[in-house]
Amino acid sequence: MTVIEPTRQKRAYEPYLKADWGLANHWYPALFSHELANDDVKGVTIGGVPILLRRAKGVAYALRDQCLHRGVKLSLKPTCFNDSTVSCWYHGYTYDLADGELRSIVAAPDDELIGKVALQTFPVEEVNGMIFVFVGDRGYAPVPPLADDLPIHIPEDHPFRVAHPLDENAVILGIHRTGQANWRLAVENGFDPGHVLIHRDAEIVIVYDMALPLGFKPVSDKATEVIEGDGPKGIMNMYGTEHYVPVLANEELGQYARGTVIPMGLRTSMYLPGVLMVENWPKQGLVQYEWYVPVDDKRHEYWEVIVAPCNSPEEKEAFQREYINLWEPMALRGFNDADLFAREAMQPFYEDGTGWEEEQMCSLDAVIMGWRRIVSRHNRGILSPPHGTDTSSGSQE
Amino acid sequence: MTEQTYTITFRFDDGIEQIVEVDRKYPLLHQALEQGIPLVHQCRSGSCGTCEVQLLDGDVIMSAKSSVALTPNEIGQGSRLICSSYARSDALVALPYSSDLIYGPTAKLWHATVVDVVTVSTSVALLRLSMDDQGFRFRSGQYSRLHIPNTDSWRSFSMATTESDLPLVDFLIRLLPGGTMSDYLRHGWRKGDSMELEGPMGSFYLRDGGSTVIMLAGGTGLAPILSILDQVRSTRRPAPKMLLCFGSASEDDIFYLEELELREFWMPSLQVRISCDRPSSSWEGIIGNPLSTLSDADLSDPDTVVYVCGPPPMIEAAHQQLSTRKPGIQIYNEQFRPSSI
Repeated sequence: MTVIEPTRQKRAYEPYLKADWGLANHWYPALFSHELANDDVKGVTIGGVPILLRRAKGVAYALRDQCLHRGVKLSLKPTCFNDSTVSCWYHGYTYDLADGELRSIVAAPDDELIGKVALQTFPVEEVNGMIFVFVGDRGYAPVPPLADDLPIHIPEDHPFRVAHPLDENAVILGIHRTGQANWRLAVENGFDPGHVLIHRDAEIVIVYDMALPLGFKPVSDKATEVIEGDGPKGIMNMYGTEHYVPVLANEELGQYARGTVIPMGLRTSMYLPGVLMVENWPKQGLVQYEWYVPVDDKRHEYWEVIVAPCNSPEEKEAFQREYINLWEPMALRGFNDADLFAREAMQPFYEDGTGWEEEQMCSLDAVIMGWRRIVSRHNRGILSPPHGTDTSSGSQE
Repeated sequence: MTEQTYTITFRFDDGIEQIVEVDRKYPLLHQALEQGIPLVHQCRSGSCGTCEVQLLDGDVIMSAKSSVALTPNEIGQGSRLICSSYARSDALVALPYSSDLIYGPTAKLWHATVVDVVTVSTSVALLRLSMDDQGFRFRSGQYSRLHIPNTDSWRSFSMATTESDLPLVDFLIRLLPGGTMSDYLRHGWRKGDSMELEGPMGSFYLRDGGSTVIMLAGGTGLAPILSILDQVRSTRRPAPKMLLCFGSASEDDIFYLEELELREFWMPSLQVRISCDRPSSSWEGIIGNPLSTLSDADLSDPDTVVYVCGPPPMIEAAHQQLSTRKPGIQIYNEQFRPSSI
């Protein structure tokens, strides 16, 4: 990759700076499968787009959560008269789940509008307990596979191989919650090699005597590896190689890394549209995936899941027990609460645009600048600010 | 037995007329829509009133299935809802909106303020204006006439930016020895100068369609091409395959290389080729004109659209060569001639 001087570097990620509302035409997680029971209707907001999810005959469907008539959210009062349509509670405009077409109006079944208008539908993929929705332009085709918007598969023969969300034997357990920060700040916090400092006092780090460094310092231009073949697009921090030095002491400030147990195979990488893979965390053999889904321009939905390969019901039960009693409280919340805190602390600086102009990046931030360029090149579109919708009510009804 | 048909003339309020042949059986609206004329409407059943028009001449009857948004008095005075109206003779119908709504903005006079003038090469300057009025709109590829301050002269230049960049508008202007605009840009301009603008004009603009888009630009012909390129970049998703061939007779006239490099970076499906007809010995790029850089492989997609902007010989050559290599290929062009000063 050619060397780019500072002023040109900033222009190189100009599209990223315009992506306040997120990226268009990408796969995002919407709900856990267990959050959408059969016949259930739920509303979520992704990138300012109101999306209704309905499970009918076991299958999840996604349509724009805004009635064509007077613009109300259908999900405010779930109304379904049969299992192939969803209706609006207000006047009974009834839409087909598969193609969104207006099939009837309760008191005007012969109206001229019927069959001539349709709600936008969104492709849905449900896998291993997560429901993903492809959010973007009406009629965008061909819709790329979900795998293209997920981290890479780690090869079978890799010494510290971890599971992939699409693996057949993968068990995915986790939570999602709303963070009061723009999705880009959440992404950048996720794999920033210097912010390890905020985690040094986490319970899980102390209890396992983890030898977390004060930070990871890149020492060559091979410290980060860009991933841009066919398939996922992203960037990886090459921890555990000579290109990244774990900083263990700052003599002048009297700070020293604690712990004796070195986390083997720990490595972070980030992929469009904003999904993080932390290999061999919170322990060797496990992997934590995170998504930072834009809700609107000021909030993100923070998804954290831990994935384990389970080849028997006993293994699955053991993992579930460990997850509920240990990983969720101590890792997903205990450890990562500090990340939410940091993102929300950055938000005021960036909210009115000041931060993007006046930030003062240092040598530790190379991977973040690389990420901004990759997003600017490989996004499939930038979401525009929405019109005629209300995003204030939160990410989920 | 042949269907009885009638000629309906739809007259927009700016005078533009559109003629549609209709039969007796279906409403005027439905037949206009079917023939590709997107007249304003909504409910299609006579209740919302959106499609109301005025019958000026001829016999058109109203017949709605449900209650109608016009009073009998209004109907008596010539109002009709075209979604519920049927022709019974040739007729003239007045539409209460301009053809702008359907066919894009017509040229008007606007006021703008000079924000900056930047030399982008020894022979090309960038003029950046900020539109004073909110309503200016244009299609990417169109041009405007600019009134050079403190003179009686008007000159035509293509917008190099897109609607989404408004209120800012950029123009790329070739600096000629002793040209009226060139003199203004070299010595006369001041930040904050007022400038009148008439536009938008021209039938050279981005069309729908084309899974491959080829753009050929000669010299300042890059301006409308850049507007088209940026419009495709922000609105066509997924992006089509794109090829931009930009060239000039002399190296001094090649400009905006960094801008084009950035766009190549932002769009994996865009390839940029820079060429020069008569370069110096240190030139490392392609030697020749933009057209000569096209290979048969570049033209292999049957759904290819070509946009050409440059001097007349370049346009002629493009038409001739491309129609021979790919008969029936869709070409849109704009000729750039230096002004008579």
